[in-house]
Amino acid sequence: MWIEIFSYNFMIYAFIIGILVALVTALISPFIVLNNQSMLADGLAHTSFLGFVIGVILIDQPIYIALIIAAFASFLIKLISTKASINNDAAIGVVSSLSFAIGLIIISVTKGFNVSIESLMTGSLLTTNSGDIIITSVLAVVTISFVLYYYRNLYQNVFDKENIVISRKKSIILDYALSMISALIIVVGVKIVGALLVSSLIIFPTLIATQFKRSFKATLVISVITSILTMFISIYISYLLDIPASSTVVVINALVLLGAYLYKFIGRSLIK
Amino acid sequence: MIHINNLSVKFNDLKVLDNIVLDVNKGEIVHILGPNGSGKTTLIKILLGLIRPTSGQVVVGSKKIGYLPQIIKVNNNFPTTVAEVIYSGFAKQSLLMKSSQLKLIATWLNKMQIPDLINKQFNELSGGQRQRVLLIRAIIAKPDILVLDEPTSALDPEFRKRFYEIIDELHAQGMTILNITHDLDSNYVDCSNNVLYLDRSIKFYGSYCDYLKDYSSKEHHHHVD
Repeated sequence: MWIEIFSYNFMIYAFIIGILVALVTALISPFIVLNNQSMLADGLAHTSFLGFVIGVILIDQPIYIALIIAAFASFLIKLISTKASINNDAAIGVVSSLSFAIGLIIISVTKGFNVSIESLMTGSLLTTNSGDIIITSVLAVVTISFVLYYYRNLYQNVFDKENIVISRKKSIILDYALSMISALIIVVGVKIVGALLVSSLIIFPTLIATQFKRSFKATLVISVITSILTMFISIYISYLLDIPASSTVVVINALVLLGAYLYKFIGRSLIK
Repeated sequence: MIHINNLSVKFNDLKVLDNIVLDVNKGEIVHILGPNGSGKTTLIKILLGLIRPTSGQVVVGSKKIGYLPQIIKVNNNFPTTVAEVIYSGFAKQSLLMKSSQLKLIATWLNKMQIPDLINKQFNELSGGQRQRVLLIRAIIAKPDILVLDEPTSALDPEFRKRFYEIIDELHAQGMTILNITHDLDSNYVDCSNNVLYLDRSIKFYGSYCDYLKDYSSKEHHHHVD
């Protein structure tokens, strides 16, 4: 009975895409969350909402337009926060609410907007196609290569930014590259869990993994493992209980975080 | 090794450094003294490329620079081990640490009298332990220039002696060393060392002995701690 789920093509697609997205969000998670950039994920999600809205009007595959717009927005956020004297979180707030507002206006003035706003807000994991799988796979290859190749620089960039500047490594280029890749990941994430929930896929893995107080590398590995496992379990549960997969992922992650926190808490009091 | 000409720095309208002219030769050790807010940290941050000068020229003769900051802001939940922090000081880093590099890290931890910390969480260390770990990070790649910002501020007096022995050792190997300090101790410093007294502009630059003879007595009339 439990294997029956894999007899549906759309469920197999959902598992493949869900797990790939869980993998890439967890890989960039520590470099964003520990850099106090959790808001960035949220901001980019709102921008990809605008991207999808424009994409729906222009072409058949809105995800391509969303990818371009989110990449541009990530560049804009970085530029505003480094050049203008605006705080990073304020820059994100400005760009994200502006793009969200424009998106809603476009929907209201476009006659016969044929995509439900709800699916943009909460994702559509069960209606993905092979094109989505290709995009997600390419993104996974890019992200894995980027994180493995620049791992040490990325680490230094979050641990001690001054020192990476002193060692004459290109901290700024790394920042832009990371936020560009984050933007692409979030667009794909919006497609599957929606604009409202996608930031949780980036924030939870690190929150959970840091409870174990290990090395940075171990934290990254724990992030990836918990992210993939929670995604797999959530899709399965959502199928069994017939509830939305996107909301299930968030709730399961929150439960795992609570468990990890209790583990740490109990572990500490046992030592005392 | 370091050549500074007519350097001035303003933050908004506040003049932090005024017309600094300074040459530091290879292998020199310079202790930088001066009251709070005298521009000591600003001066070294310019040498490190962290701050841009308002006017003037700065030429630093090597890109291999080790830096021990006065404070490093690390999130209390930042998960990282002492080994990882020190490893980030190596010039060549890869995904996996080489055993020879790990051995070198262990050797230095021994020298700094903190042998058991290699796998400890960095954010659980005391201030003095952190300072020693960051000092190892700064020197592990054998930089040409070592820049220290109040390195002894969190060290206990016992280790302070050991610290100056290590600095002497590095100095003997030809390293150029700039050391911002508030407590220059004649037990550890000799006349081969130079002193730079800074108070927005250079008030004194010369050997430690000349500093004691000519300047320090005058200066103490103004600054009684």
